[in-house]
Amino acid sequence: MKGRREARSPWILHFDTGSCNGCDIEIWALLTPKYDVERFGMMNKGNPKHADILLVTGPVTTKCAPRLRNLYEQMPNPKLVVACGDCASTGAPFVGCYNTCGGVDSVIPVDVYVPGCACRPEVLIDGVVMAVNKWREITSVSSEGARA
Amino acid sequence: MSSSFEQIALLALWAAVPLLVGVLLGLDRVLTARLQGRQGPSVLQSLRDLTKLLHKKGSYVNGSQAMFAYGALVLQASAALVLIMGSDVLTAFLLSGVGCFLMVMAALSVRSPYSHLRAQRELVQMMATEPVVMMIVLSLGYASGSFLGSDMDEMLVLTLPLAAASMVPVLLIRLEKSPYDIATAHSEIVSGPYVEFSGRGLGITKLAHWFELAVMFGILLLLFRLPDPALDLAVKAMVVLAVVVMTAVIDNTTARLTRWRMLRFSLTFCLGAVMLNMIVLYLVNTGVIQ
Repeated sequence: MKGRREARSPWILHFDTGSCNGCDIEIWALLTPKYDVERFGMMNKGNPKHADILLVTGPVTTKCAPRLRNLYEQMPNPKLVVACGDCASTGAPFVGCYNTCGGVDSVIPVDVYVPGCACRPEVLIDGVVMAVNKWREITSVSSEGARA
Repeated sequence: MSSSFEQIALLALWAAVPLLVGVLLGLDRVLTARLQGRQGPSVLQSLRDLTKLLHKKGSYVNGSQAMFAYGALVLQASAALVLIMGSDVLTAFLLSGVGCFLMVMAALSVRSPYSHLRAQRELVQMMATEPVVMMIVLSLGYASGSFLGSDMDEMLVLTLPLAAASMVPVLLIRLEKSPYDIATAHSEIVSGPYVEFSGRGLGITKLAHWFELAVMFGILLLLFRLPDPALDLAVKAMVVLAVVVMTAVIDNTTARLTRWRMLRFSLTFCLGAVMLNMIVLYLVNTGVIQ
């Protein structure tokens, strides 16, 4: 129950690590009346210390990597990372490029990969729901561990 | 109703303050969503947010930050208790004011310049609201001849209508609503003095803020007392709902103003209105105006 209660209020933080802005526009579309993610309790927070889920777009340029790591480290546990789009998931089409790290999981651990170029808002919602389910698992396991 | 039973009921009401304010803020979020053509979250969403925050780990930047946050919560909760138990309204207001100041101190206790900026903006907000609420509390005391909440006259709004009207901009500021959401301005500077808090610490500060809102609404509701308990409850519920609807509409139809505009409006129109109301009341009481 504890896990369920917490997962009803996922606050998101969005970070662009060198995206073409296609995925970013789709993330912002989630907040519009058409998709309205606030009905799931999701809120966009411009502060890593308040966020639960980090939505990352872009292939992570070498300049962005330390900033991404910094943001991730500032988020309180439990925290989840969703790589939004093909660039963030695999680095494609920038794999091997001299100034990119080749995807988010080369810098921080990723929990959910959302495919697409650009990823569609419906798939993004699915990705965040998957992250929320994973959050439920984490919190229920940790609360059971605390009880034991 | 026996006195001890009444006191237990009032204590239960105090314990239920976070629940009531949470539902009120949830209602505000639903109203905002509907005004924007969205479905919006559940009415209980603010309570879910608070529950989540209180269960998250988080960490404090330093010991002072934690001390100030817990201090703010204790003071705001005490202020709400004093007000609900029908004790000295002035004491409740001053306790709440010190609680707000401790939040500013919490924001100033860390080295982040962003936190300092928000703390200073919070101070400007306090400069805009505290004199107005102070004057409203003084006018309540003058009109009733006592600062005890239980001794306040009935329907003081009829003698102090401008005081009730002045509470609307004050509540707009305290509820962090446009056009006066100066400290917590979304998409400009975010989170107000809460910027360096995370997890449970953020939950504690939110809870302190909810008790502060309860004190502000409580001062407003002192103007709407009625002898019949059922009618009293109905009228107070309607007043709170009307204020929430009004603030949601104003929030969604206005753009953010500058802190100077906020100060000018608050310290001229709001403070002036309450003082004018007091002067008229004085002239009526002394027989100058029949």
